Amino acid sequence: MSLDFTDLEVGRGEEKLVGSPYRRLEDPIFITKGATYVGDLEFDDIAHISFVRSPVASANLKNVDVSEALGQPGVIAAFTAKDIEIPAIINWINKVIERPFLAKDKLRFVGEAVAMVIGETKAFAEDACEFVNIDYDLTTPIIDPRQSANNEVSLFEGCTSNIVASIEGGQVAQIGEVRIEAEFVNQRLAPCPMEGRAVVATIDGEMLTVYISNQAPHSAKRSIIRYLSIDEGNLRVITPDVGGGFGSKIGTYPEEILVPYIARKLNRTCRWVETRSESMVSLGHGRGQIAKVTLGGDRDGKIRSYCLSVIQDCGAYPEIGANMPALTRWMTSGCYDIDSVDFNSISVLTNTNPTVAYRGAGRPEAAYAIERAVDMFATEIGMDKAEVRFKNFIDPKNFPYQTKVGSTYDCGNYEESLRRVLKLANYDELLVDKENRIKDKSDLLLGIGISSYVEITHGFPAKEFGSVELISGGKLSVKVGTLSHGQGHRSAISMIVRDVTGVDPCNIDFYQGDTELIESGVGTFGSRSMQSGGVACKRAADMLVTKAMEFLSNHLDVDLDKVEFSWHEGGQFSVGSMCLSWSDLYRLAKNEGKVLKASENYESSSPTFPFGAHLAVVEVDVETGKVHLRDMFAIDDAGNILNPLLAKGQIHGGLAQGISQALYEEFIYDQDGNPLTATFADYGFPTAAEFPQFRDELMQTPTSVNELGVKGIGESGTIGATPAVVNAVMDALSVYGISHIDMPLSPEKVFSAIKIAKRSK
Amino acid sequence: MITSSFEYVAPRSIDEAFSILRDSDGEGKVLAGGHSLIPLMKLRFARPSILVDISRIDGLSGVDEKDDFIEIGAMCSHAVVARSNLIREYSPLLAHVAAQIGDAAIRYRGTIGGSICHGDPASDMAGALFATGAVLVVDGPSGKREFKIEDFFTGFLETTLDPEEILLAIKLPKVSGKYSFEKLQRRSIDWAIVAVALNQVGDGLGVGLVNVGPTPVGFKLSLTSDEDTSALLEQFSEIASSLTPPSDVFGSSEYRKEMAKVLFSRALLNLV
Amino acid sequence: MQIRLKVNGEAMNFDVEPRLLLVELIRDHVRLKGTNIGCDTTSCGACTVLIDGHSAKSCTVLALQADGCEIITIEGIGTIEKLHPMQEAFYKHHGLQCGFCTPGMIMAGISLAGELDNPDESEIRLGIEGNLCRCTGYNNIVEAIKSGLSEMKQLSLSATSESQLYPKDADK
Repeated sequence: MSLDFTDLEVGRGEEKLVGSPYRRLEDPIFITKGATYVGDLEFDDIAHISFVRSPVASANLKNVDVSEALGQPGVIAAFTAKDIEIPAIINWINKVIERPFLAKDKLRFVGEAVAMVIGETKAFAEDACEFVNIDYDLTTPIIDPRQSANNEVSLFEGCTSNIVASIEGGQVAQIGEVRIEAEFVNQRLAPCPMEGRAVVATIDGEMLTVYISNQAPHSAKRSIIRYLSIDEGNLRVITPDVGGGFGSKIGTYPEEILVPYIARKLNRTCRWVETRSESMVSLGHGRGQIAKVTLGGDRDGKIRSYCLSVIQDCGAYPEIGANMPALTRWMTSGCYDIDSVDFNSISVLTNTNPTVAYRGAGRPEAAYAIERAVDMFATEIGMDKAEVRFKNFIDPKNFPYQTKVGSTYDCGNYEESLRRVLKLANYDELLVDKENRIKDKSDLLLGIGISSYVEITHGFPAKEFGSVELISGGKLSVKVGTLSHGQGHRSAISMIVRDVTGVDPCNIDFYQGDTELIESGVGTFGSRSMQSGGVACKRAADMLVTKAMEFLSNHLDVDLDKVEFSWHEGGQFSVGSMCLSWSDLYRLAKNEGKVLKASENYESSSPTFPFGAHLAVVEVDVETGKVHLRDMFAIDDAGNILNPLLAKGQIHGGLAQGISQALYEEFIYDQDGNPLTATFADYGFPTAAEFPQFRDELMQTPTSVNELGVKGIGESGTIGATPAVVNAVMDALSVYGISHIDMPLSPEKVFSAIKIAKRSK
Repeated sequence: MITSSFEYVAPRSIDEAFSILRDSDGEGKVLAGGHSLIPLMKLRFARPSILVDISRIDGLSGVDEKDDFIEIGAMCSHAVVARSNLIREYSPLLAHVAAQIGDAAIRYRGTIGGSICHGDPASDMAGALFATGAVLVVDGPSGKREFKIEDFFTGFLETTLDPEEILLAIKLPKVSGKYSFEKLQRRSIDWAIVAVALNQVGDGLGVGLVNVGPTPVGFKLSLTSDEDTSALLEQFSEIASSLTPPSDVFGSSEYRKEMAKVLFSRALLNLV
Repeated sequence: MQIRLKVNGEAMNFDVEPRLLLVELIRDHVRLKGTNIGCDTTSCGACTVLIDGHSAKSCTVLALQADGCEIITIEGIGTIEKLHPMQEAFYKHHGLQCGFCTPGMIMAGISLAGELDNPDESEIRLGIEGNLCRCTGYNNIVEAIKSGLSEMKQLSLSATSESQLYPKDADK
């Protein structure tokens, strides 16, 4: 049972690795010792930070008293807002809105950090937190975003309303014989990475080193520099292994700035590892959108017009969530060629945890709205739900295709992906099964749900760094500015570099997540990494080969065209009959005091648009309302696939999160703003027992946007699966004339809808 | 998260345990498997100052066969209850229900006694004990006492157990009748939204209901004939209308009431 | 208070505070960091270890309760040079992504060997319901555990060779 890299079923010898199911290089350590997360790092004389958080959603904060806490055993220090001598965070959307590092004057959501206690142990710090007294006068919270939009009282002084961002539009002409109007709620979700936030800050003279669980270390570094006014050269940010992020760790949170601030203040290493209870209420939430759709179409199945109006819940402070409607807007019309399309949105404040990007970020909301609306349209005109899609897809010949809202889809073949998923699922047989159950008056109705999706990845093309350097022994050192937090970038990028250089991935040292070692970087989010960092490393590897050949031509004083390179057999340079390895090259260059290294700051020209079709089969128990997902089929196309093992892993995880939004998950606040789902015991984080084995296949339509022909695959599952599952449940319930139930489709919601429908019959 | 501080004692005999509890002036709390108590302590919803771990006391974790009943030690884990040949033979419902509690790891550590003494109305185990007509054997300063399961629960997370008393064992009549258990959940690891346990005991049908009120609930319905399901449904409906189930994120009180009826009729159909 | 226990085969003594949890003992005192803490409510299983051969959530066990027990953690079942079949299966089937749930998931998978014989897919899914994973959608984990259990069976491996499934003397 020994682990032997030569034992791999694929990628041996003389074949290209890219495209093969090469096993992950990350895994051997992960499965024997476990990965190394921030909470696993050991430091001498470390102090532990615990936060005291607001117990209420809305109040005027009169006083925070830490004096009793300071008297508790093992307490080093305790701080409130008045001790924090850094200016509040000025909001990037609205400069009137300030977010203090610790709550000051007002409490704005349950879970907002109010005070911090530093203890010799975590237990001492937690004990002392109970002795921090918060004195406040309750005020009336605003929890419902619809109410917030109309509220005359604004949550921030100096703001005229609670609307912090808006996109104008919605003047679309209503055309077509049939008009569908509906409201869909994309409920608030907790991202739930298995590892929560964690920060360690250590001081060595002027030098501050911050270890942080984050998706974008260079941007975390910029934030810390900005708020701590520290010289760039005196700050190093390191992300060791990161236990998932799903968008929630893109930004840098106030708590994460406070840890290095306090470490400097106390001149002592400080650590904060959040508990799940604090993570649930203060790690940014996802979704939180209410959409109104109006779809116009003709009875022959042609969709003529589509308008999407969105209210985005930002939570208590406008963070990235406030900007989600912009991403939703890009994908308004989905896979369809529609004459008239428009979009408008407002983003509003509420007394809840701020919303951020969560896997899919704005695109699941767009796909959900149009895919639900198309199903309603099909039902209205009595047409098969696949057929109505085939009638409206953008013609594969028309790519690149510019949508009415201005997105330019690079390439796609939506018909083909739907055809394939129908075949995979045996669609015709499913239809017969469904009808039979209705005829038999079965209490277990079958529902079939289709969703065709297209989404945008690498939505904000930005330069990404990649470098490849020849090091001792003919090994390569590869550095990249993206940041794998579960995706397996070490494996994927090593495969790319190996196929250029011939150097075995086991001889490639891979570096990410260290601002000292990697000169610049953007990070990993928005399914951007392979089409940015991956391409940068590919180019750097290409350049390294060229540089090595140039070096050899100079060194041997022969014409460059006499130097040849082949990636076979570990990479071989040949000049006439002479044959040299990378190891030889390293020695020769070293003798001349030369370093063979190439770097690339690659900027993609445009985003890419992965697509696919998902099909869900559900059984609905009409007596209880419980939905059982029997099967989930998925065809996903993200261009060329670097490694099907990794790509499918991404799809599976996305499908699970997408299905789970449809059936289980919702972060619920009561009307007073108290969270009701603040632990894993209450929040509907799905277990293995909730899912069937997914049946998925990859389709590959290469993009010409980048030379790898790749698009992103990290979020597709969450985008396609949610509407497929809800469409399936509504398909099953169509016998009752039920057209929509908001997610999650809990047993009680489904049961109540059936009950009401039966009564009105 | 970390519990508040406490003292810990692990007596080796039941008498030693009693004397510790007596001396602790009501501050002592019995620790069985800890799978109800420790999570509450970590969230600091519970803060006992002395924990009396009874896992080191011999004789509390066996399953014994007596003439007309079996006796299950309070410290038997759910995994043991699920797999014990004696329980599977003489009280198959209990084994069947134990196998569905929590998850695999929880079943190894969580105990039948700890679960019952926690007094949670959402406990599947309590429902099963109601259906089988269990008797609880308790010992303490006022001597050994036996309670019928229906006399044990007094309020939400409250039982008739005195702080100085310890549940020693659960006695179950040997039953050979049919049983069934119907449980409606959101996720497979969630507490039941509602569950119904049925067990034919003699000429009656033992019924245990999970999560339909502040305490676990159960009663016995009379069986006139096997075919008489409509009479049973009617009896049950009447009782169900007086239930006061909780409302929470898993379901409203009204929904739970309706589901109790649905699950009851399914359980009747599925008696095996 | 004094405790004595075996961790991955090695006998150890510790002086612990009563409220110290087994997971903290393993992480902070034995200094094995593979076992993780993922929640506060005994829900997620990131802290799963074997106690006397059975899976246990070490965040819900006091170190004192484990006095005299034999603990096995992810670090105790195999090495890179010689993987346990369950580790090999996770590697082969891409049963992990971010890795946070992985040590607990592997230990839970191994524990299933003691309770299920040739389990089917749904039995495995129920068998690991107490171990949450946010990355994989469980698809490949289920595949991995299926293959790992079958390999363990071939090699006649139980959770640990020294332990039994359940105390045989329970039935008297």
